[in-house]
Order: sequence, then C-alpha cells, then structure tokens
Amino acid sequence: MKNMGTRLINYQYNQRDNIGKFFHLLFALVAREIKGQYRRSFLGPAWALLQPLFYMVIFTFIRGVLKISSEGIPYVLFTYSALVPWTFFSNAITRCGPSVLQNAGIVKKMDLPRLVFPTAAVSISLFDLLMSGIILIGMMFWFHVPITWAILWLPVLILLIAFLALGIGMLIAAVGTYKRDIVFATPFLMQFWLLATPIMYPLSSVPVRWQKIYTANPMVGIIEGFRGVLIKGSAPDLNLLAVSIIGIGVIWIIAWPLFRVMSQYFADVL
Amino acid sequence: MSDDVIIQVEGLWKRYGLPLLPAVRDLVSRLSKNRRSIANNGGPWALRDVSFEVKRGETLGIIGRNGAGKSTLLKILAGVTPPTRGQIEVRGRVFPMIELNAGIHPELTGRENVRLLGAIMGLSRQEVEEKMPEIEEFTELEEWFDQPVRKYSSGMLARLGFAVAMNVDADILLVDEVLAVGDITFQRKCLDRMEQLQNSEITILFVSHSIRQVERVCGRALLLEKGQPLALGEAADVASRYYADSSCKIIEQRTSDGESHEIVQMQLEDALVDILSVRLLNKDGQVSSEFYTGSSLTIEVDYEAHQPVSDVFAGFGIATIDSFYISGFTSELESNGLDLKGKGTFRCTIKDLPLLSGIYMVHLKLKNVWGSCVGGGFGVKTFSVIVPKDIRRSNDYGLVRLNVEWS
Repeated sequence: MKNMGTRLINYQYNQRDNIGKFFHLLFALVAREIKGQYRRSFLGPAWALLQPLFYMVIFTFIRGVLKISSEGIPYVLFTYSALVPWTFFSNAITRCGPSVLQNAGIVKKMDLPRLVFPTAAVSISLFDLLMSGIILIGMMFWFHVPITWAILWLPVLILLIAFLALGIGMLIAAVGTYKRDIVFATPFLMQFWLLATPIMYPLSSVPVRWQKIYTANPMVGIIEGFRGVLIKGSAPDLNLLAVSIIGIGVIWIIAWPLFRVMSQYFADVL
Repeated sequence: MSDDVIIQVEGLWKRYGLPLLPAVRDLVSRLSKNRRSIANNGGPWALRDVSFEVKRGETLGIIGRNGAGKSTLLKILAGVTPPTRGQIEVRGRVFPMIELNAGIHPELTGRENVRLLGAIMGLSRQEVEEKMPEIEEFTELEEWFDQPVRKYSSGMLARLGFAVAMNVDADILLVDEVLAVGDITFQRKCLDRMEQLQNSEITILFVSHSIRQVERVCGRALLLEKGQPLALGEAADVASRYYADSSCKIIEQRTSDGESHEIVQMQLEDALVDILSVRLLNKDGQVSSEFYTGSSLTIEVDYEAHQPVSDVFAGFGIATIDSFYISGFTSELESNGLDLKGKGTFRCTIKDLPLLSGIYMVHLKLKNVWGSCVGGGFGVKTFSVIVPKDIRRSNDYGLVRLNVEWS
C-alpha cells in the first residue's frame, strides 16, 4: 500500500521481558474476572457447574421421547461427559467476542498485545471447566467408572479445544469489535454447532450417508475422544483427531493474520 | 538522526478507521445502511502533516483547542493506533499517562487493583510487590486500601492510578491532562512529581488546556489547530500565538449576538443608568482588543441616565477569562463623584498595564454615595494581552509583571 504510516521503535529491549509481561497481564486479567465473579454473585462459581447440568437435564427428557441410544452407558453420564468439554468450548468462544470491547479502556490507553484479551477469555473458561470437571469426577465415581491410562489424553484434548476456541474467538473478536452483529450471533451459532456435534447422541447414530460431511466438524473427534477416554477407557480415534487438527490449522491460518492486522485499528473504533 | 533526538515525527497524517481496500470498502458501504460507516473513504483528517523532533530530557507542551488532535498525537506516539501516513521513530520506552484508572474492577480491593494496574502498565510482578508499601503510602488511603474500589470517590481512584503510574520506569512520558483531576493536595503531589521527573533525563510530552501550566512547565510547545501544526517553538511564543488566536474567537463569540446583548447588564431593581457601550482604546486612542504589557489601556463607557444621578463612582474589575479576579479599582479616591444626566461618556486609563499574556475581561459597576449600585455589567469587554518581545523577561511568570529593582 502506498503511503502507509510507520512507527518504528528503536531502542534496546529484551524480548523475553515482553513475553513475561504478556503472561503477567494474562494472569492479572483472569484473576480479575474470577475474583469479580465470586464476589459479585451469590452462587458465583457455581454457575459454571449449572450450565452443563441444565443441558443434561433437558437432553435426558428429549432422549426419553426420541429414543436416542447411548451405547450402553447411562445416558446422564453419556451426555454430561460431552457437555463439560463442550461448555468450555462454547463459553470460550462466546467470551472472546466481546473481550476487546469490554476492555476498551485499556486498549485505548496502552500499547498491549491485543491477543491477551481473547486468550484471557479462553483461560477464564478453562477455569470454569475445572469447576465442572469436579462434578464429572463425582459422577464417574457414582457410576463406578474405572479410571484408565487413557486419561492422559485429557490434557491433549483440552489443549486442542483451547486452540480451536482461540482461533475462532480471534476471528470473532477481530470482526466483532468493528461490527457487533457477529458477537450477538455467536450464541445462536454455538447452539447449532452443539446439535451438529455428538453430545446428545452418539456418533454411531449418524446415518452413514451423512458421516463424511458430519465428521468434517473438528469438534467431533475431540468430543468423542473425551467421552471415550473418560467413560470407555479407550484412546481417541486418531483419524477424527487428525480432522480436528487440520481444522484448527485452517482456522488459525485465516484468523491469526486477520486478527493481527485488524487489532491495530481497534482503538479507532472503541 | 542525531543522538540526542528521542522522538522524530515526519509528515504524520492520521485518519481514524480501518483502511479497507477500495473494493471491499465499496461493498461494505453499499451493504451497510449507515453511510458514515468505517467503510467510508476515510473521514476527516485528525492530524495533517505534523513534523517535529523531541530531544532527550526535554519537556514539550502540546496545546490547542478541543479537537485539535492533541490526544490523537499522543495515542500514535504511544502505539495505541497506527499512523495513516508518515514516519515516527521512538528511541525509548514510552509510558502513556492517560486514563490511569482504565481496567480497574469495582469488586476488587485497592491493593488488588494496584496489582492489576501494575500488570497493565507493564510492571513485573516482582516490581509491584516491592513497591507496594510505597504505593500504599502515596495513595494515603489507609484502611480503604483493602476495601473494594466501588466504595472509592473519584479523588481516591485518581490517587490509586497515579500511585502506580509513578513507579513505572520509562524514557518518555506522555501526559494527557492527567493532572486535572483530584484535590489540591493531590495536584500538588502530581506537579511535584513532574518537576522531579524533569530534573532527570526523562522526556515528557505534556498535553494541557491550561496554558499557564504549559508555560510554566515546558521549554518548547507545539500548537495544533484542527490537526495542523500552527506553531512550534519557545513555550511563551507559542502561548502568545494561542492567546492571539483564541481571543479573536472569544471576542467574536461574545459579540456575535449583536451589540444589544453584548453587555450583560446587572439585574438591578432600580438600574438608573444604562450602559450603552464600552470600548477599549490603546495608547494611540484607537479601539482595540489586543494590548501590550506595559502600554496603556483606556476604558471608555457610554452611558444613559434615565434620571439625573449625582455623586456616582465608577468601579472596574479585571478578571481572567476563567473568572479569576485580578484587580478592582474605583474612582472614589481619585476624583469627585460624577454627576450623570442623560447621555454621556467617561473614561478610565490604566497607564502601565502590568498584565502578562492572557485573555481578560472587564467588569463595571456604578455606585452612588451610599454604596448602592445604579448600573453596570459583567464581562462587558474582553481583551487579550501579549508581552512585546523587547520587554520580555524570561522569568516573568504568572498574571502580572511587577516593576522591581534589585539591590
């Protein structure tokens, strides 16, 4: 582009300092949010638990009517074990959208790596995941589900969700800071996506002719993997996970440069 | 670029908004109902062709009216928004002292918010913990420091933000009217801190509406008007230029209603004398609104007395444009009372105007022997004063110049 303005910073500084500062700010933002939530509401962190439980109850009713299979696992466990990671994913993305808008004051004041805001959004949802994970563990004990080595896959799966959520979150934050429509639409989109993911029903219930398109959904591999690892004690299907990883890659290739460019001008519209 | 220059700005232009490619811009503007969306071919230029250099350790003032582009310039230097055109080179750490309380959460305590602000302002966790006792002491918040911040007054919040900001190490400080909040003691602390910083090698860019503060604190100043640089040079020179431009506008504003409204008549039950017009004359007897320190200023008043009034004394008051009363004087001691009948004119001359640069207004009051007011008006005339170059002394600060003799 001709005639672009440039701002050059020309002095000795330590790159590692910058990384340290990024994480310091990240922790500070997450702490702020969590403390604020605890103090402001009566139920506080309990809200993190209620959301997947609520869906579980609804799905259990629907299941009775529609006769959905749960592959021999008690339905409550079947669906809750998928809802916990899903809630993490869905909340992370929903929080990313307005994350920059909510921090308008800081963005307009200092030159900060703006990626910290969607990253904090995902991190806060991660904290909620840990909270609702406690109930999940309780449920597993209740149903006498054995813990196997497959559990070691959990951090990997959680990390995959985090990256996928951050990629999409960056996209929504980048566009949404300028035009809020996409931020408002996010909850609706997440509802659709929930129905397109094997949470309420197992993957095996999906008609064969739809399977190819269906498994292009990057969350399929991860959710089935989560359930498999926790309840069935089996390692996740690597083919499906490969699809997830490719999906994450594609999204980041688009979202990362887009966010980098568009985030520079955030202060102009906040 | 020479070694002692720490900021160099060349040909800076800034327009707010996302610079979409022309095709996308067209598409978006067609889709969106709002014609003035971000897709519009830009908008007004916030800054036009600004160029200047700042040397290490210097304090540069940036002045201008509202909308002149001062905050925009600071934001670009801070790296908050990119320049549209031009080159900026910054050779040091920049710390923008703008909106010091941004990011504060009302449910967190003062201490917790200090940690948060520390993270935002770029301090490391260690630095914040080390300096916490100092910060706590500076805020003077005592037991409030561990109370949720939603209980704080705005003055307390200001102290919190400033206390953290004071501890940030930076080579360049961008100060944007931050000193305008808080009570007297707090402002004193801020000014003290500023002066302390000036004595070090730290470079300061100071944006303020208070021209007096800028003249006092800064060596050079940059005057912006509608995004364009109007003047750059010694603070006193630039301030005079600002006054000259502003006074024209203020005087225009005050007379734009027309002669009849120009004089704000006092509300009196029995205004026996109407003030018809007031003129200010310079040393050559010409009507003017611009005067020089040390020259003479004559106030000429046309009046109309509805009934004959005897033994009337006239009193004038001179105040700054922000209503700071400088001096009032009456004719009581000098001459006998005036006998007013019908229409007439009287004059008063200030022989050796001691006022320094600024914009001032004249108040007028007519009183009879018993002290009751028979007529007058507030702010009947506005004028500006400029210190002429030949008598300018570098240590003249304040409102008036005093005639002194050293021995």
